Amino acid sequence: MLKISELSKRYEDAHLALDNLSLEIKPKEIFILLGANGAGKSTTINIICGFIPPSSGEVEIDGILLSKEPLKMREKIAYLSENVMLYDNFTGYQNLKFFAQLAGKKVEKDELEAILLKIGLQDSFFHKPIAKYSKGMRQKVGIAIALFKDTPVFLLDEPFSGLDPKAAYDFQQLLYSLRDDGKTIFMSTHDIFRAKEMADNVGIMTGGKLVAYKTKAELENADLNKIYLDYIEERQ
Amino acid sequence: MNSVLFIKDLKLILKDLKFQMFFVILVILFILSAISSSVSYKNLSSDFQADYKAHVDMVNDGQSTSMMGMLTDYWVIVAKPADPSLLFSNYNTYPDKISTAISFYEPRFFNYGTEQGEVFSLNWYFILGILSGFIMLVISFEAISAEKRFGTLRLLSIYGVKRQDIMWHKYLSYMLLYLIIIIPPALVSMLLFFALTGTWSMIYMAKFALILLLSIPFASFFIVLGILISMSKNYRNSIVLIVFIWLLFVIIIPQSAYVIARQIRPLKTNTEYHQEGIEAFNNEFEKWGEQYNSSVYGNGSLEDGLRAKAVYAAGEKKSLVSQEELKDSKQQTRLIQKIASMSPFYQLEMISEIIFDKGYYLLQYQEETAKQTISQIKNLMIEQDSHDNTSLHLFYRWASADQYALNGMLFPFSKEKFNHPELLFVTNVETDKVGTKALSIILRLLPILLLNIITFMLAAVKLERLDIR
Repeated sequence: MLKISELSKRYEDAHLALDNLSLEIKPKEIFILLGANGAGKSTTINIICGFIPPSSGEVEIDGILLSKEPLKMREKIAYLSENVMLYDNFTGYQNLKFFAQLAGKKVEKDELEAILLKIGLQDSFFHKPIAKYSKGMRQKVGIAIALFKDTPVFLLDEPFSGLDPKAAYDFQQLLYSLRDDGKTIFMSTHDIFRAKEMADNVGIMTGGKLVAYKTKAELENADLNKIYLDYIEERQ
Repeated sequence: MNSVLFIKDLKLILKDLKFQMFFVILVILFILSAISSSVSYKNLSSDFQADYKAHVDMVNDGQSTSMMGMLTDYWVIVAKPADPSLLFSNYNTYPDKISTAISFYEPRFFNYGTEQGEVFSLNWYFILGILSGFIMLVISFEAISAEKRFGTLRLLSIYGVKRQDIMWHKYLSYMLLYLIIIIPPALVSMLLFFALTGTWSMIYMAKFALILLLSIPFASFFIVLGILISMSKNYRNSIVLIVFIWLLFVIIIPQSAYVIARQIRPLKTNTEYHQEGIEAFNNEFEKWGEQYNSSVYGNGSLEDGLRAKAVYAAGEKKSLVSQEELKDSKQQTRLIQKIASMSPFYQLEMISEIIFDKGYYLLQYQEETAKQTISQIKNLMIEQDSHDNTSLHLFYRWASADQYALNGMLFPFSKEKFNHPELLFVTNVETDKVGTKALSIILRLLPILLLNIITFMLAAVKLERLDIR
């Protein structure tokens, strides 16, 4: 379970990027955070990942506190960003192998290739340098790396960006299966329609604040697009 | 050590086009340096042989080595034969030979650190001392920025890799790569040089191995510096910075050392020193004339050996000017060395002088050897002279015999051939013992080791504070 308590972040230039955010995301849950650029979505993910320290507040995963055991917490997290982070000079296979080994997994070639196939990467690209991959293909390798880490929490920052419809559909199915396996999925996106389709719970952020929290049941017959735009306009 | 991280870094660098390009360049340069140095070796060997042959001819001739002749016409030469150390450096700004007048005053040295040679020569010093630092800077200056650009720095962080570990493993992989790009081509270069010159020597093999080993802290400094630069925010600034640092160490500091030292400790020209010497001689000579109310010029004007005494005293004054010239030259050289030592490149050069017995390190021992040799020659000449009935044994009865000598009745010193002409050409110069040398090298290594530690700590602090969002 991912628990965020009264999390705030004020940057050195005094800008308050995150204002007292509290959330609880359970296992077997897909939580989607909606918000415009600068709303505080990425700041939230950056703090959970330990890329930046919070000004105040706490993050807890399965009883591990970010403030106490940051390294141990990272072991519980798989992270996928919009611009997938990979070594350009390595092949997709080599990138996956490296991060799998880094996670302490025993890696067999067949297993690695199987996972690359599973996320829909053409086998002719397995051993080509990442520099030759399209954005969608890079995204797939990033997904494979996140999957291979096999953590209880997945943090996904705009993960559908750049994926073609087929890949997006496959990835969506993959996230469902991860959820069904008991994983906690925290995802930020601009895509309201996908949020409504996938999310168990949705949060809307503006100006660093969580201004709305909607459950799947609440969204069932509601117009999420309208709700979202209302909050955005209210903020403006 | 995390082998996964280490191997990853190693593979990334091996795939780097810059690294591949530099490796090829280094292989070519090492081979060319062997060929170029073997040509220098052959040329210097033949120069040395020519000098030596002239000496042997002179000894056989017997004219110049007559003791009378030696006083005016000959020099003691302390020379170092060409040796395989030429592969490392030909020390083209330093003489490896000094000539010393056989004077019964303080010896006067010539070519003491003033000889200028070729401006550029291709050898290991150029590769290890000048180029490799630049190569390591260029290879490592993207160490962290590339990880940041790819975003992998964040991903590594998510995998619980500490930032210090990222830096440490990068450093180790660059160090290993330094050895990979330097040792195999250096080995080929060394074997090629030995084959071309026929100078196979286990001692020199060991010395070359030692200099390669000692170049590691210098390479390490540039790697750490490159890693530190790789954390700067602007790529263009990083490139400007590495070029500036390289120029600072290779050109600006060493050249400034010469300019500053020449300002602080200026040297007069050879002509000025020569003129001063002549003036000192004449002034003293004239003093004697005034004291005894007689002209000092012309044969026998001062009677009872007074002229000879005047010549001796004036000669001593002239030799003081020579000593001053030598002292000025040494002081300037020491100042140049002190300032230039701020450049790591120069430090490596100084260390190589100790290992190979070259340059200014050797020169101080050559000077000492020359002084001792002249003292030995003087004693032997006096001893030999004392057995010659045609000589007036002037070195201990100079003044009283002067009038006879000047009247041409007898010679002031023996015309016999000197019995030990081999002393006029000295090649065997003893330098420090191994232990003392090791201590000197360690002392010279300390600043670079300290620089390594400081730069590493700075880089570690900067990486810890690096914004990886």
